[in-house]
Formats: sequence, structure tokens, C-alpha cells
Amino acid sequence: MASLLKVDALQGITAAGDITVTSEGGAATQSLQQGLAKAWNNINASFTIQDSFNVASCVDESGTAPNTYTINMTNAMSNTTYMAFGTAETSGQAPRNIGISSPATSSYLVSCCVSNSPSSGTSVVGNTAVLGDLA
Amino acid sequence: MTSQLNVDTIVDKAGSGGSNVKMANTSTYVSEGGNVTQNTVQGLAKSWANFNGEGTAAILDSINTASLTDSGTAKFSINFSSAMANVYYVFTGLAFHSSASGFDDAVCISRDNTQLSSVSTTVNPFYTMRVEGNQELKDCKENMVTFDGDLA
Repeated sequence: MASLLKVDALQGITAAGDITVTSEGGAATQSLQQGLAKAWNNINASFTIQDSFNVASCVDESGTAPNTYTINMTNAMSNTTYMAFGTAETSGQAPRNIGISSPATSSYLVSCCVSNSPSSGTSVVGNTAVLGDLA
Repeated sequence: MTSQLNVDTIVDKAGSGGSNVKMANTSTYVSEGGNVTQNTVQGLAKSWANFNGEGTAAILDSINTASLTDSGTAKFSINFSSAMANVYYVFTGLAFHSSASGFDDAVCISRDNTQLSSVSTTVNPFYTMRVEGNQELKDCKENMVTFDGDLA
């Protein structure tokens, strides 16, 4: 018979921030928390947040370079060596890339690039996500 | 009444290490540093796929993918089994083009304007294009995409 466990919060006994889960293949265990995306966001060409998780704000940095913005996170990361990655999309067919720089525990800078430089085109949508440890 | 479960390991009822544990979408977890709590379900990738885009395009491994559509040279769609809650889910990915002689160049994954209008909660179209050189649409052997956001 299937069992149903209802709970609002998950917390490790040995360490509050460490719950392990068994792998799909059953051969390994890994930290549940470390496998979760700690933030993600979809930002349009007007630097408006279209959807997000753990994002406090998006700041227009286009005065520095076109299609460049800062993502400020609500809950801070524990260090500045977290992994952030993303994809840029826009009208027109060209190589689009995301450049991520200036990582701080609560923010990082995003540049939507055409080939190897920030794009001056319009309608760029930036998608980024963050993996790593929260503070 | 708020409840709290203290546990180090979650496995299914049979104890076989299966993936039969169901979690409510309001579940939270304590951060690695112990200072904050965040929603667990929103931190999970809702879909990912590793696919070969050369020849007869095929998904090699994935979660929450019903199919891969090959719409012509370097144009694909990942079709989700379970729909997203809106069209603003976060789409990230990378690809690499290998020539017959080995190393070739980096490839970006993006969308053009015709594909942007086709994005839906179950269909995610995109293209793969060489970043340098001819900057052309190019089928790639190695393609990896992930999707974060809220499921419906």
C-alpha cells in the first residue's frame, strides 16, 4: 500500500542543510539541496522579470553595455564560486550567447551577446540559472 | 499546525532506493549554510535532454520529454510530457559541433523570431548555430538543454 507523508519542511538530522537522496539507479546517494537550482530567471528586453525564483530584482546596466543587467538574489549564495549559466534569444537568426561576470554572493552581471560582444539589437530575452550552495 | 520532519535519507517505502517519494509543491528545505529556507520543488529542473542532432535526431537521455521534433537543419523542438505553467520558463543549453577531423567550434542554442512565436507550455523550439566561422545553422552531435520554471 502506498504511504503518504505530509510535511512542510525538510531538515537533516546530522546537519540541517543536508538531506541525501538515493540515486535513480540505486548505486549512490547525493545531497538533495546541492542538486537544486538556487535561482532562475527569464528577463525580457525591457529588463522586466517575466518569471523567476529567488530573484529580488533586475537592474538595467545598459548604460555600461547593451542588453546588460544585474540579477539580485533574495537569498544569498555562500560564496562567489557558484555556477551560473544561460541562454539568450532574440528576433533574427544569429549566434546568441550569455556572458556572466562579477559574481557576488547576492548578485551577478549578465550580458546578452551576439557572437562575442553584447548585442545592441532589441527583443533580447535572457535566461539564466544558478547552481551552488546557499548561505 | 506546521510539521517538521528530521531525516538524513529519503527512500521509498520498500527501502529499495526507488524514486517513489512524492513531494508537495509547498515543501521547503534548509539551505546548505543553514541560514534560509527555499521551496524545494521550484529548485528542481523540470526537464532536461541530451540529444544527438545529426542524421536522424534522437534523444539519448532525458526527463519530462515526450519527443524531439527535427524541423530542418539545426532546428529542433523539445516537447514536454508535463506542461509548464507559463511560457516564461528558463531555457538554457549548449551544443558542440565536431567535424570529421575532430575539434571544430562552439555552438550556441537560441531561438529566432519565427520560433519565438511558437513557444508554448509544452513545445520549446530552438536552433543551434556556430558562434564563429560561417555562423551558420549546424546540426550537432552533442546537445544538452535544461528547463527551469514551474510546472502546471
